[in-house]
Amino acid sequence: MSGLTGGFIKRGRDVSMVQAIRNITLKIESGDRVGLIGHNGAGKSTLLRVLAGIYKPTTGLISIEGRIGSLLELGFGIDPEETGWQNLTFVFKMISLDAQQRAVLIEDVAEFTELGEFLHMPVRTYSTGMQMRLSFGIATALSPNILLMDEMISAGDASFYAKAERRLQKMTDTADILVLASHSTDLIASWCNKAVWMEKGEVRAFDDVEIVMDEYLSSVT
Amino acid sequence: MTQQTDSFFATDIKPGIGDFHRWTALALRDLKAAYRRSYLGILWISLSTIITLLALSFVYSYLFPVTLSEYLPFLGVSYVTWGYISMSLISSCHVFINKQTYIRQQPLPLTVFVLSRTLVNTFIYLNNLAIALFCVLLIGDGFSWAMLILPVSILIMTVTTFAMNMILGVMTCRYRDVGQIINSLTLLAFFVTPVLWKPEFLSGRAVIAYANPFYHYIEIIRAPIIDHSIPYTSLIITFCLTSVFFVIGYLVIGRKRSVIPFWV
Repeated sequence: MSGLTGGFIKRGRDVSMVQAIRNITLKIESGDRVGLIGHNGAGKSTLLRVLAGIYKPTTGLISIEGRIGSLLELGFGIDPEETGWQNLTFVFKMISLDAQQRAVLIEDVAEFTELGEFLHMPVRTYSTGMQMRLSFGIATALSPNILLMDEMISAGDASFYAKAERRLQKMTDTADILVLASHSTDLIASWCNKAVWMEKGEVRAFDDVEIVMDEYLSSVT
Repeated sequence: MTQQTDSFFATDIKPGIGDFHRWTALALRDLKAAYRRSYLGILWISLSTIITLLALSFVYSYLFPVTLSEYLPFLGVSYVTWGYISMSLISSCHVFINKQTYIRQQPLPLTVFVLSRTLVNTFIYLNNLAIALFCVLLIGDGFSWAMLILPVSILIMTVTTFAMNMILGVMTCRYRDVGQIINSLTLLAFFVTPVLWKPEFLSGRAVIAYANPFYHYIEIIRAPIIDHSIPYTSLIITFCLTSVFFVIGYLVIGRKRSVIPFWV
């Protein structure tokens, strides 16, 4: 029986490996808003990691022009024992190089989170929603040319959700290229103009978003 | 922008060293995390060293044919230097594994982690060495011009730590047993290395000490402080060893750089 999910498992003598993606040829240009769809384990997140420069392709070449910003997981660099401010300072030291720009970004995030006095408290005292606000604020602070996003988890109350969506919208508007992996067909349909349908680590279709979505939806139903 | 053929120096070492604010921030966070929520905080580095040194030197100056004022400075320098060596060996195994959340989310130069680890270890060492030097100046033989060689010795130690991070950090990512092996070997090495005892105690079998590379790493710090002499032989030996470690480390990490995000 062959499953529909996952890449290829190669069993070796002493190690087994998973080939998560293969044979991918894509040309994404300025102005493209690309949605990545596919089953669990189809290779969406792996492809994003390759684009982000974290995983190097074992064969083939990737060429990127522009500054990449990636929102792959929320909570990057957050230490629950440190206060909100300490975490903000630390995270921006890790992801942003310019000291002046850093100060502006930190202010911006602090305001966005609406955490107020809680920024002086250790993050472990925050509720889940408050931690979410902090991580989300950090993740969406940069304004890169190329924005890579993996399925954003939605948490927080309704008013924050609306605010988060506006912020995300603003961020994607300023980026030249957006690559967004998601299971939500609605989200991709409203945000993207192109779509990549991944299956078993390969690109099954890459075209305008309507065309790919139609194919995809007719195959899953 | 992304070129698969770039050397490790171009992709990781050069930008890594330039990212000063990154590895200092990381080092500071690690240091703070180790002593968080204790009343004395970072003072524990010095305090635990002082307690150990006093206790050990009382016991051993009673057991060995030496006086306390002779033994305490010797023990101080040897013990804190050994502490640095063992801490560096053991912590270098987990330099990448402990930072996997960073490595898997952002394309940071790997040397950022190596440098921050080296900085933490060296900071702790300098703290401890200051205490040992204080013992020497207070009850030992005092100052000597030979001590001016110490910055060179410390540089050799630091570069060795950097190299060991590259070698053991990568090896432990792939084979987790390496961490355990290094733990055991470091403990074993402590007993065969003249840390608590002097090579002279071996009376005629001192070659056992001289054949031990750890002895020379300790000697480049100990000889200028305790014996007031510059240990040329040990300096040359450690310099050569460090160069070899560095080249091995560079080759290992250069070859395996691209798979480390999968291994951690």
